[in-house]
Amino acid sequence: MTDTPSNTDPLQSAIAPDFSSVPTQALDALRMKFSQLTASLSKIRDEMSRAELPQWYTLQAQLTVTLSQLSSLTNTLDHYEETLDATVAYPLPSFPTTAHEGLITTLMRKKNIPEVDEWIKDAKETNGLDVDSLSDAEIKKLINKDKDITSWATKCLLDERAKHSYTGLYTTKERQTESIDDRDNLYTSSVSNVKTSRPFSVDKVLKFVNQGESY
Amino acid sequence: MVQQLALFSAIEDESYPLSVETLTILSSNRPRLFANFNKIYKPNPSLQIEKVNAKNQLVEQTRVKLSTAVPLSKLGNGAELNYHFMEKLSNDDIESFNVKSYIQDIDSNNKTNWAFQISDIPAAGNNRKLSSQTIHESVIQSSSGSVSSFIDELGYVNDFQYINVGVKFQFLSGVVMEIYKVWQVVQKDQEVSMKLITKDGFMIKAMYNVNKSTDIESLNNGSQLLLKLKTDLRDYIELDIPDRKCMDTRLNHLD
Repeated sequence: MTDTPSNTDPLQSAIAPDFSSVPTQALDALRMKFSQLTASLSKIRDEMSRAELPQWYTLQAQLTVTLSQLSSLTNTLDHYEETLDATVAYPLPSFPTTAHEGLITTLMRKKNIPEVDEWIKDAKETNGLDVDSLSDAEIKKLINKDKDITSWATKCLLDERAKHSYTGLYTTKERQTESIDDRDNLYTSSVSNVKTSRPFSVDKVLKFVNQGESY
Repeated sequence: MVQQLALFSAIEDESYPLSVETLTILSSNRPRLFANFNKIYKPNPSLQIEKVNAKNQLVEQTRVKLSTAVPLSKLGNGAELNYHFMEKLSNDDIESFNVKSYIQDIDSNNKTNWAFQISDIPAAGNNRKLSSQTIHESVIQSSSGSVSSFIDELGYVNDFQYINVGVKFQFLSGVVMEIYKVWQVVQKDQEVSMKLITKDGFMIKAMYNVNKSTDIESLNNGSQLLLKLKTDLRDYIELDIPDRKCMDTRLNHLD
């Protein structure tokens, strides 16, 4: 009896996987961006959970980095949108489905996990837009309006800030009305590099104070 | 009983004005001048206290400290003093202060208020960031005779004595910082002399007192405050935990 291809067990035969149509470039780009982002997110989480909070400027710098990584990730996703949309992932027949059921369901899952669904729902609720009843065009219009308000607010803030002097010894008003020379305003905060040194051993003095051992 | 958390450091004489300025701003309080005369007593050796199981430290002989505030009027010989006073004290003697007459004075009258203090060795541990010491202190309200006869009745004899003079900063958070100098007071026959221990500089002590050693919350809070202060002052004044053995007031058992 000869084996015909139709008789072979599809689970046993070695099907040479065809990787040619896998969008490696897109996936690899995404993988890199994701790993960067998860690394910096977990760093922030670690720092926040420490007993001693880091300095605010460290946190702010960290947050800026994370936000730019996030926007770079969204850009990449946007760039490969078509490719990724047209890609369908499926398990190979040789995958041990029974032994690794958990793994395959995790890998193949398309539905958001409940936590993520919660976030999306939360975001939809907090933006104050009735997404279901509005058309795309209307939503776009509302978003644009929101952007306008934001840029107006930023402009207001900058205008207001320009009216005050945050360094020096005089207010902007005083400088304008009393025509104070800029050189008189030379007070700037500075980082001092003065350092003290120990002229004697602290331990020896403590030893004297507590045990009377003179040196 | 009080649990005292503390960090120490030292600065040289030249850094004093700037340090006072810095701490005034940090504490938002003016420096307060203080001067204390301290007498240390040890258990009378003639009592032959049995050193039972000294290795396991079951019988421990601890020094006691009596301290009293030196009136600033005496210290400055009547002159009005402020924190600038400390800038002139770099010798073995304090020019304006007559230590001999001061000691005769407190020996002859019973009106001096003394604080009686016994302290434990600071807690052990490798990862400690600050010294944590149990201190018992109370004020002697009255004694039948002079304070020396009182202490004699307790079975203690003179060990040594010293004066510390400095300024104190009270932080709103409860932290107290002191910048001070220490003089040993030597009494030989009728002569009294002083010897400056903190040569060319000042001791710095930052401390936080907690009334009960079981009040973990306050202890943690105090540790955080002190460590924050240490961070704030780093690269300027390096506050450190001292060797606990140097703060041990027990008598050496090997004597």
